[in-house]
Amino acid sequence: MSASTPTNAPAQVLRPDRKRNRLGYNILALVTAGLMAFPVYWLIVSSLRPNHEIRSYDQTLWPSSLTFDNFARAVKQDNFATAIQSSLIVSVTAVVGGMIIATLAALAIGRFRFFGRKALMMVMILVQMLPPTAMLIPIYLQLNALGGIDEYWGLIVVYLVSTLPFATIMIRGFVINIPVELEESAMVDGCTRMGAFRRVIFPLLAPGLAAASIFALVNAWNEYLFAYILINDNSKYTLNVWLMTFTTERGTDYGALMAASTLISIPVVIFFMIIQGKMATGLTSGAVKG
Amino acid sequence: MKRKLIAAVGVAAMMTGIAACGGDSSDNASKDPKDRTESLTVWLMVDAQSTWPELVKDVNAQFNKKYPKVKVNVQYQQWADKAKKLDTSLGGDKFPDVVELGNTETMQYILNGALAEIDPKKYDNSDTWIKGLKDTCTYEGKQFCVPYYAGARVAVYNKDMLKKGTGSDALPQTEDEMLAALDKVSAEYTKKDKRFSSLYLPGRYWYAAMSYVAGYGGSIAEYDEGAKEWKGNLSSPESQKGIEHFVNLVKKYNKADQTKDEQDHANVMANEKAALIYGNGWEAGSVVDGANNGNPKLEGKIGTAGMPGPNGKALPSFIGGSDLAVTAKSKVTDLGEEWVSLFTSEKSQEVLTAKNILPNNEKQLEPLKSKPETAAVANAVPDAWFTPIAPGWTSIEKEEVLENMLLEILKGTSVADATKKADDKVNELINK
Amino acid sequence: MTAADTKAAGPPVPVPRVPEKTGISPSGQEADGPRPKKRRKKGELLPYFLILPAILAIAAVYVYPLIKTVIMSFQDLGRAALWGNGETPWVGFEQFTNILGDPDFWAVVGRTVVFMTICVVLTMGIGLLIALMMLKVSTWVRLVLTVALIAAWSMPLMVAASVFRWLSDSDYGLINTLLADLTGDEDRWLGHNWFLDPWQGFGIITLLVVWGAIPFVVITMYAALTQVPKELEEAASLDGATAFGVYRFVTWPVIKPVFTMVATLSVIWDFNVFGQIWLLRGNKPEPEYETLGLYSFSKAFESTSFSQGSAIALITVLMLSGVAVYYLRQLIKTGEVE
Repeated sequence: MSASTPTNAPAQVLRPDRKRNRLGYNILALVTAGLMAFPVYWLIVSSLRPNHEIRSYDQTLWPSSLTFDNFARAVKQDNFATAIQSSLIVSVTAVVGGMIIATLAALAIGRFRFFGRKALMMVMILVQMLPPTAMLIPIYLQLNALGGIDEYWGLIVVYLVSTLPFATIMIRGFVINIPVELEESAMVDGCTRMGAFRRVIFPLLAPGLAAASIFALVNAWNEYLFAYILINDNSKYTLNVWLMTFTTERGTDYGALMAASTLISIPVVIFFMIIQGKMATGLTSGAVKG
Repeated sequence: MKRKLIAAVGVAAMMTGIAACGGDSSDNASKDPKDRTESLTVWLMVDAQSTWPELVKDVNAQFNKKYPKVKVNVQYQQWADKAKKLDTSLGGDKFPDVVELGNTETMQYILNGALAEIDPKKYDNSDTWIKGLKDTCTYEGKQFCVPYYAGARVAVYNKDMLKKGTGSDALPQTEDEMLAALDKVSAEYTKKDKRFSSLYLPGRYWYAAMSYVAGYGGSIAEYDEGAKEWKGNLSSPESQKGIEHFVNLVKKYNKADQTKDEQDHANVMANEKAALIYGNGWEAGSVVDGANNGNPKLEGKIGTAGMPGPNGKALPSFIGGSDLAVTAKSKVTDLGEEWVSLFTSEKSQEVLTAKNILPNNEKQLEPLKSKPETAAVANAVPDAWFTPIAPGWTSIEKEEVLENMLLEILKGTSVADATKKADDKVNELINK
Repeated sequence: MTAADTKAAGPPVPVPRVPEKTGISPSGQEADGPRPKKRRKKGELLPYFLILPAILAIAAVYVYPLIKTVIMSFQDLGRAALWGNGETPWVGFEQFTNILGDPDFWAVVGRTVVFMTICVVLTMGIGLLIALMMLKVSTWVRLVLTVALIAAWSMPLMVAASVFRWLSDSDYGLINTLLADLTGDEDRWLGHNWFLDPWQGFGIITLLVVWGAIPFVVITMYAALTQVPKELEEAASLDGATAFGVYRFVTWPVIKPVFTMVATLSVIWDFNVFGQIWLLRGNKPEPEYETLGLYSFSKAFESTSFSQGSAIALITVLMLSGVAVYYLRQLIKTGEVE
């Protein structure tokens, strides 16, 4: 196994053994993809099955008949539209805000040596360590005092802060890998600091930002407990809280739940498709370390 | 210590009760209803949104006719985490004025002073409120919540299967006859399908187990008037007999996984893997409801009947249900009470009974006893049993003392040892 | 992972004495002087401006709650008091001594540590391997794999848990059906309850946790791997370095900071794992499934006093701080010595 095969260089002429290697890796990767996606497949198949077949005693990999009834019930459920709106407002703000704040903090931590820097990092890790369920009441009381209960911004701040440590440290990892000289030469070439940031640093941070923003998005999009506890108004419920309305005392409408869940996963996947190009930029910018 | 706290809470609750009649809210209460401008927040469970939304709408309209400027916010809550949300919000300022509580969870809120005392006279049919619900709202002779609706458990069975086994599509009236019929059904169906259970009784289904305990005259716990405290009663000979009986039924008739609890009931039946379950009355509907994982092909083939129990009597059912309460912290307790009284009025209850849901009072229950769809459930109400109304009951339920006891017996522990152990645990938790 | 370790880990490492070469001069004229302290006033303030929003956000959500948690853990805050109907007595260290003296607590801690270790090793190991594999595959295969990962990642936990519950259900689960078909032993597998034996049950839970965490690890590690300069790798292998050698000396140093961070987060998350167990056990986990996350929840919400939950949260933080201090040390080292 020659793990040193240079990859992702389209111009590279592949020698036969390397081609064979690649084929092996491709097959392995597709098997992995299949395994990882199996629960997703099951979710989608369940959403298309007649409802009573979902928990049938004779499980089959493919449904006996396909139906869109589950999707029809899902979109007709009360508050679907408002839940989409709430989730978008909360997630987009939390992700964009979080990325900006994290990038600023990452630049500070990665580029400057200042008093309190380690304390800041320690605080960030501490924030991650607290068990969320045990913090529920204190956080609730805090937001209550600030007037953030039943307001989007209360939820946004909670999500933003919960992704801030990861995002900051992730982006810092990319900041310290960017040679200062690169930035300086850009500035010598007449770029302003902002210009240097935008044209030189930002593209190099892009993979980190992309990974951090997916993390932040999934975190905000799929969070349930705080979203339920901090928001009272039913028309402000986010999608994950809305999902719970398929469960009543009389059981859960699994078909509609699966259909709804399939629908609400789509924006996350689309977001990823949009930014995944950014994640590969690092690959081509081989100049990083000069 | 605990008792002192309860006493203090009692006083606090009483004072809020007084405050509701006089005190600060009197300025508001004496105002012309047309000039009231507060808002009223109501937390109902999601069932109201999915099953009787028109009632909520109608009651709000009635309420606004009298109080045109009061804004009513009905917010629907979900079963999974409602308690967490309520506990948390009562510590802040955005708590509900009116809240729906399951009848097993009210006591914890009453004991901690979260609920305001109410005056039963203001509510329709309060003199015939169903006892199992009324008791969950009563503490030291005072009333802290209003019964909303009730539920009872019955035999839900597949008529076709029973007919194939025994030639009749009615469930026999005594347990011996019923078991003989089930044996025949088993013989007929188990040939083809090893996983078929003529009676699907899951082993950790403690509501059923305790019904057999009640059937033999046993109980979970008894109040000792002398010592003024609750004591576990599971190891009494009567209780042991009931548990033994239940476990034997599970072992003999349940051919599926015997260690589950009751949450797959309707699914098992919808999959035609069981001829009989002991479930909630509405589960007969779930079995055939396509929107609820049911099997529409079984429409018309599912019947309900009173479940025969030991000693030639009917099996006593657990009585479930919901209550409505006004929170003690609410600044508009009078408006809350008024809304609840509209929502539980005789007319409102009719909306529920029309959907075959058991009402909160005996008077409106009576006609349901002869209506075919509801006869079985309605008739189960008078003999129903309820869990001990003791301060620590919630912890016993949360620590799953009874379920763990049943599981141990299924795994091989003797009934005597397992019930003794469960009693110790009950004694440890029930009085605090 | 005990409080003793925390102590042993000692005070944070001193700032490496490498001369500051990464400072950006505020005016953009030149790389600044060797010592940060000699920097002009404006330059000293800039980093503080940059971190200000982060500080404000964290403070808004966490400062008071942290203080409140500490206060609560020395009190006995019951429901009545939280709701304004009673006194909150001070109890000193009683909550802590009660918890630390409870044999159940130590059983829970032991279980949590074992569970966390297995989950983290599996997650990080498999995650890193998949990320490395992604460098070696064709572009379209990589796209397929990443879409699969993202789709898995985007599934809400509640839904993912439902799916895993069905798959592992004793009566209608696909796993049992497949096992019965494969082995031909229907009596053994049909109706087999995976959760009766906690080892098997935790096997399923681990599967869910690891499956759920892998996308995050892979996407993040892959982003880090894209930073490895290709020229360096090629040069190294031309110089005769083995595949492992290239990985060890070229790839690893670049991805190490991200790896350490992801591993630390995994430790924290798996230590506090809650939802996966809670949901797979149908909202009522048996005692043998209780880990610290569930234990702290049940003490916070199901017992009579919220203070116990706070005390457990603080004990958890103390236990994890050993990991955190080690991580911080690594973080600062890898960031600056390089």
